[in-house]
Amino acid sequence: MRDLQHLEELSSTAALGLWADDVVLAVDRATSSASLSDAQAGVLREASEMLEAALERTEHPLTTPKTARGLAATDTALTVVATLVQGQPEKSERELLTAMASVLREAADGALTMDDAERLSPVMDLFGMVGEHQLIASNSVLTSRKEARAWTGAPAISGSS
Amino acid sequence: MDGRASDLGLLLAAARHEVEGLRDDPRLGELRGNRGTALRCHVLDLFGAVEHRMAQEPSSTAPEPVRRAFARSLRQGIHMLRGAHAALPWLAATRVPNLNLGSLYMTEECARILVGTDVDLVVVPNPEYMYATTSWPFSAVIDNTPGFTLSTTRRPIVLNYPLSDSDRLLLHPIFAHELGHASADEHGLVGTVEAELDGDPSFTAALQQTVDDIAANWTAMPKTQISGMLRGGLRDWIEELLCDHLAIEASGPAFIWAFAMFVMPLSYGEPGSEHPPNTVRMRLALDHLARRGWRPYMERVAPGVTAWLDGIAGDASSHLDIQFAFLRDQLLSHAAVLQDAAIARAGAGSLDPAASEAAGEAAGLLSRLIMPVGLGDPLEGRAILLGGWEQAFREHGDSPPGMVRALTDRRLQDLIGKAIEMSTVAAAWEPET
Repeated sequence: MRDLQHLEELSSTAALGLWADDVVLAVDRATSSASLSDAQAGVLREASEMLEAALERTEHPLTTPKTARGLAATDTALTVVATLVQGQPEKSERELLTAMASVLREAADGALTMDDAERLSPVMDLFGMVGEHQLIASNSVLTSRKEARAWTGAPAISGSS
Repeated sequence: MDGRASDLGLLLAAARHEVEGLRDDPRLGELRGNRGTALRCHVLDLFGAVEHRMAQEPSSTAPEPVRRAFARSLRQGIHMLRGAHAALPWLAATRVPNLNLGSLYMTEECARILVGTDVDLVVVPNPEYMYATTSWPFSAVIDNTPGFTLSTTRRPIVLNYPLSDSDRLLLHPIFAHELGHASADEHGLVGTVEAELDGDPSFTAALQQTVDDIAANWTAMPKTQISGMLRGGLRDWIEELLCDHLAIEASGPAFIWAFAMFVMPLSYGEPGSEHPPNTVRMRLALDHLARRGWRPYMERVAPGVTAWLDGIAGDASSHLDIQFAFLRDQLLSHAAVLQDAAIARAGAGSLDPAASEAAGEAAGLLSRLIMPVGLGDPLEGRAILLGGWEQAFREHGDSPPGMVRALTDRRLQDLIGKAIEMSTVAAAWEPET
């Protein structure tokens, strides 16, 4: 059995949340007068690629990212985008993903204009929601640490606490 | 609202408190020797990564979403710091090793074969009756801290074993399975196997069909989600099966005997989200052992037990729910891909059926209560353990209850452990010239 204390699961869950929150901070930086660091530009580029991978999944459902992190990130992004679309029925998931991936790439390349701040607002919302989702998930991992699954895969009986 | 000045003040103070509390813990102090040092560096790297983030506090005029994002990142950091408390008893265990020394030497040999030489193996008794492992437990967070640099690249591997099993050597081939997880991670083995499957049109067609069939019944679930669920399950099952195959390469039939003793009293053909049914694992393990030439040896030293295992494997095709049936069918039909990946990884370190001769010698010595280090050159530790199982069948019976009785035979297992320890020392000994 892997990871009796669920630390790797906690770490990967937290890492995705931290990354989403890093995107929020980098987006803010990209819209301010301060210059973007290479690391922040890299974060924005990764965010754009993740949204493109999510878009690819909506077009070809059998296509899945090669890494566990990519799979988790696109799963969460698709869930959040579906929620966002419910509030904007005039837009489809694909339109939203395409627009956000595009503006993130422009931000990473330093190609934004002052007028683009409005286009980045839904991006901040999306990644903020991913960050919230992952914080909830981290709490769930911690509470499930006492409910470890047996090495055989047979579910263990949970404690009462 | 989170992210206000008061909230950020609390979080920064709490994170500082967690880091200072952990740093002050004597269990995190400097270690003598090499064991545990990479794990200690890894924990210290986590503190560094969290502190690096703490220093990125946005100004008080930053927009609310930014302050809230910073607050969340601190909360995630505090989660990790609290999780890091689990590492303290592991570090303490490196100062007071409890595992049989012979078993520890053998496990280190398996780690070298399966994972590589640059590893820090920390073997920790567990109050729960469970074998488990973790490797680079905090790396996802550390690696995802832009601008922070790691202080160690040596892989820490923590192996948990039941406290009561510290001297039950016959079960210890399970450690090789646990090391398989670190091996799969280090060498990208799951991706290798998955790429082979993706290149097979029959796999792609079966995946498409399964997604369509599930979508027809579970109409609320989009196909992307179904596909993602199947893919995640596939990766988990591949990893577990690879670990079984790697353990077979490292330990030969001793693994399947230890595995049967550990898992069969717990479940039979029930699938888990991360683990294939034991029937399927048994079938694939027996196929692998047959391919590697172990079958005649197994039938010679334990015909009754081999027939019992065959019976379990014969139930691998029993009914499963559609998602599990897809995973089972694909992995059974691509069994050679799993075997190939394990064989290639273990390379020259695989335990060859030629070791059965040394195992026979060890069993003969054990039958006379002589420590089976070897009559000539020292016997290889893994062959001694195999011989231990051989003698266990002779002494306690070639049957499942006989295997259970063997696990309680302290004298036999003490002799095996001591012999592995002595043979390791003898093999490493270089007399002065």
